[in-house]
Amino acid sequence: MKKQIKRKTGLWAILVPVNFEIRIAIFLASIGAISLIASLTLLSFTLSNILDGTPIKIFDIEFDLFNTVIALAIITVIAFITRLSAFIVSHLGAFRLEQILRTDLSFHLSKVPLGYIISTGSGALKKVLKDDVSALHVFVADSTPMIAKSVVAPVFTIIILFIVDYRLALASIFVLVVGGTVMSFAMKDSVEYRVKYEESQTEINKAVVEFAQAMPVVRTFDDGSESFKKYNDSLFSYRKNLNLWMSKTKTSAKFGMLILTPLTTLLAILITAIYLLNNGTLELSSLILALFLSTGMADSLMPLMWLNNLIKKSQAAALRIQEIMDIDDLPETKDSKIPNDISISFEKVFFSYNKTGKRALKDISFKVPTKSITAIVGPSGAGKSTVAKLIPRFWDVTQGSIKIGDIDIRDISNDNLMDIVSFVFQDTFLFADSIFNNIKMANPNASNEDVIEAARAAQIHDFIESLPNGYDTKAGERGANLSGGQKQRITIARTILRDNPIIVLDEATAFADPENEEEIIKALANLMKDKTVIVIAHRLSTIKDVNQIIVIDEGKIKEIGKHQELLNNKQVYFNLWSNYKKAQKWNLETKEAV
Amino acid sequence: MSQEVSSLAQSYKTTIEIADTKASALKKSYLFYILSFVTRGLAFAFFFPLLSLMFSETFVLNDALLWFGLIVISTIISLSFHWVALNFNYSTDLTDVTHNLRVKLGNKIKTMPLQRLNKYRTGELNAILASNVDQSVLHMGVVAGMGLEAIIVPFVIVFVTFFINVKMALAMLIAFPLSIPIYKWSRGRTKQEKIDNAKVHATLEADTIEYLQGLPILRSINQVGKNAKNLQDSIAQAREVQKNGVFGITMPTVVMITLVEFVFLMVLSLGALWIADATITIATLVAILVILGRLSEPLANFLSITGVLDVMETGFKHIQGVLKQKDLEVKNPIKVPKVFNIEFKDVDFNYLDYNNKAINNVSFQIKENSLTAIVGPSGSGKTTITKLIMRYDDPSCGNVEIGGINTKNMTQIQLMRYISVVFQDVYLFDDTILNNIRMGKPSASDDEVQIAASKAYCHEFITRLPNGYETKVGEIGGNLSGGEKQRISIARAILKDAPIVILDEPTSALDTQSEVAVQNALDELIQDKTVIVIAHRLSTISHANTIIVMEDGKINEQGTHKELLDKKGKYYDMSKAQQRIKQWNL
Repeated sequence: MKKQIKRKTGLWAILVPVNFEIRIAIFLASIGAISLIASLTLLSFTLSNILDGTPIKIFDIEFDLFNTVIALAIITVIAFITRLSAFIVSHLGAFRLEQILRTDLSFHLSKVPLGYIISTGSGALKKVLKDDVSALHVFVADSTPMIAKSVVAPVFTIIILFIVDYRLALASIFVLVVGGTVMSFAMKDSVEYRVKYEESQTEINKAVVEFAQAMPVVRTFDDGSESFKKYNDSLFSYRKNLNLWMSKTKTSAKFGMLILTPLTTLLAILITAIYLLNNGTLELSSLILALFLSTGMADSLMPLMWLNNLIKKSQAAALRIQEIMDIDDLPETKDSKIPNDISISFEKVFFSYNKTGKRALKDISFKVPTKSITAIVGPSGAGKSTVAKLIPRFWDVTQGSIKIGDIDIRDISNDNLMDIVSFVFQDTFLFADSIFNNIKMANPNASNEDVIEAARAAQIHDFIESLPNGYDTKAGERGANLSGGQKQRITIARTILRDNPIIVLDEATAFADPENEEEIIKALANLMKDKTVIVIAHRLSTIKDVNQIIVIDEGKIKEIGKHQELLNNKQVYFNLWSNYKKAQKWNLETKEAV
Repeated sequence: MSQEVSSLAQSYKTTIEIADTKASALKKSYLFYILSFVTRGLAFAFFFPLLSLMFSETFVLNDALLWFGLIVISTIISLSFHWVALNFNYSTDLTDVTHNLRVKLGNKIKTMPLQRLNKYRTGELNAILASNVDQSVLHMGVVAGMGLEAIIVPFVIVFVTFFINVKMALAMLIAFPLSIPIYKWSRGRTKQEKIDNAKVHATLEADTIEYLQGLPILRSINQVGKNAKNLQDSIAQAREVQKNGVFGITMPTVVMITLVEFVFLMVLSLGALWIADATITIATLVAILVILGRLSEPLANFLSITGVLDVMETGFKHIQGVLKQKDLEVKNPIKVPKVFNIEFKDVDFNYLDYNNKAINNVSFQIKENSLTAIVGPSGSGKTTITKLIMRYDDPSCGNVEIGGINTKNMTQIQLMRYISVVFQDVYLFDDTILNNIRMGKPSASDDEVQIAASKAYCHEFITRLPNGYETKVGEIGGNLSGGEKQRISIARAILKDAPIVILDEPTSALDTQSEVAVQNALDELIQDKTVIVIAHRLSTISHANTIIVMEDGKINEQGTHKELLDKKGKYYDMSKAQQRIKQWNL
């Protein structure tokens, strides 16, 4: 229920910042539309009076044909200028709106929980920031002049026609009403079929994506017939539904389309006029006016439908924008406290990703002493990385608390927290800037030597030097072709330069690039020197000597201890370890091996 | 002008090409559009005598009714023709065109070399097969109708006017020559706008993505919000560029709308002059003005139609791009291998758009039912070798033979019957698990599927799923772990029972727990097969019959584990490095 109300207000609420432009544009466009109607009205009277031989007078100016031409020229110029200004104003408003929305969204996204951004994905967010905002641009830029054309003009036309001659007015409306009624029947009947058609369109989309993505597999496994069948099925159902929709709507749609051609309106007016002329009760000026103006109403129906469509589309875009703006900011303390040491403690932490969802973490409590290494192990999906990501506040705990030293991390300002905790996860990210700046950005005050020192420690200095442009080489999506391992080490250099006392690390990082494992391992070792470290571990051999191992399964802590202690326990860790050992020993072998 | 005509002719040709087998129905529809609009022009032309009569002093009812009757008749004829022409838009012919086009595209995707297919991003293919087809087909009737109306109706009216009043006809003609340069000018302007806009929007898009992906880091160094200079700059830049172009965007549209009013004014002025020297009557002028008003809408529509035409044509260009891809050539005579040894004879291979050879003069032999490992740094050509066995594309030089037969002498379907592949990334279809496994052998009974699943160590976890084998995988594999998905794909391969098995780092993406189970499953799969494995961890392949060490697209060395270690070459170095890493400890 609540959502529905939002839906209604969504679009207009988002347009508020440019209300001024929208109103001015509609006003100007309306003046343009009205002035044209006025000019045609004037012309009709002039013409009919010339026919009668009695020129009309307005403000003592006698409107013979020549004066009328001059007046019309002036009005046309006015109409042109007002239209042009309406378009320009609405476009400028649209551009301004784009900037406002994009800036607001980018500001807002910098304050929401990072977890939201990561789980939503940059692709989806980009779509909102770019495409949805652009959709609103189209609405503001093009709809406002449209409103003048399809709403203001017909309304004025009807009023004038009724004033001049209600019988001709009725004749011209009659056709519209018939046509409109038929069309609306077509629309009403078709909704259900259109929905089905749209569904089968989505089906095709899905089938194509699967068909195309899986092509290598498809070719090796099923000679194409099975998956092709799926694609084919979607085509058949698409055709069926489209045919169904068309056959349901075709008669009324065609009928409506034909009856709404201006010709039919003109016929209605002509026969009425002939009848009235014969009776001798028709003013020629009214007839000319009706002939000039009446068809404009039929013409305005198409843009009206188009406008309706546009509103619907824009509304969907507005809704998605609002959804993002409605995400709560990560609460930020006003009175940031500084922890007395850099130990970490989880105290009865419960966490779920959404308020109603199932708990990802249950009753997690542990302590990580200053400058010690703690490894978190467990099967995939156990909650290892969730634990890690709560420390830099990707999300806030649902219950309990996480402390650094004696301070709850929620009582540390974001800026301060980011000066304490660094994280290195598998996904590397480099900016479209020089390698040097990509490292230096971690600490703007660092000297050139500091940057190079960090690169050395991250085992990437030699590689960078070997590039033709050295440290000035452009990195990032649009930059040099760096391997995963090279990118990884540049991000490690950045983190080393940052020199935060707490490091949260995904060990898989080390194995992201099999060829550079050795270098990355050295880089990580340098990074972890003298830090408090929490590491998500996958290869158990690497954590044999850490200070503490936490075994997590199904969101709960199963065991805590050192490697040997846990092995002696003969429980979860013991099983993980023996599995690991077995996997290491595996060897591919066929019976036929000679 | 000739350019416009040729581009309209081009559009027509394209449309007929799309319609393919339904072209005659489409042509028929076009013909009826033409007939409809000619009679419509006539109907409007009859307005002259009728209106002249109505505005003259001597109104005669019967004459008026006669002309009115003629208008009604031609209107009825015009509308009936229009009705018939519109039929195509709602006919099964139209939907058949979309259907046939998509079937053709689907077949092409099935048969074109994978290398060519991989040039397309999934999103691109989706756009082509889904939206481009709709765009190029569904509107072809309506758009053509609108275009023809804009051209034919005014033409007929002017033509008839020549017989009534040459001067007035000439006056009306002013509108057309004027509209063409304006139309051209507007297209030119918007094209430039489009280029500038595309550029600034591409930058904006890249900066937006960078901002979003970089947020964790940007936040940690407080470079967000208004400090994110790049993004804020390109947002502002986008507005700036559009602002500069605002005149270019709006002016042509407004000019085009106002054009008709301008012509109206011209005709009126001329009319005023001619009335003054009594060349025409005021009644004629009124009639002409009324009809002139009718020309406005079709002319204004012209601009929007060309926009749609552009969309249609780009859509079809994309479609044709796919359809024009060459299929893999199958050479005669088609031969069937009896044994399954594999041989590369002096093979060279270049990837599209790359200058360097991915494989350079590679020759080797793989015995039937042996285990061959290919190792080497990434980019050395390991995967390319396996791709060439599957005929991802043809080598630029040399031959790939299976059982002594060139793979070019086999049909794609036949070749694929001999090969099973287990990839690092598993692709499961949005279907039941049962059907996902059964793909390996569509004729397999449920029992056979289950046996294969048991051998692949997945029967147990499958039966624990809510609907067992009938559980839907969901588009990307839903809640299955990497290891579970991998085992399902192995079950598929076991069921297929192809004589050649290719393993492409099948366990590298798995966590320890799944690894053991996947390893067991692989052990089942590879018995009595010709096996080629790409492996990173050398310890797993130490028992291979042959190890081929690749470097820079060439075979660096080959032999057994022991032989290669004794040689102290590249393989030895790699092996030592891996042992050092094993010792690593946090």
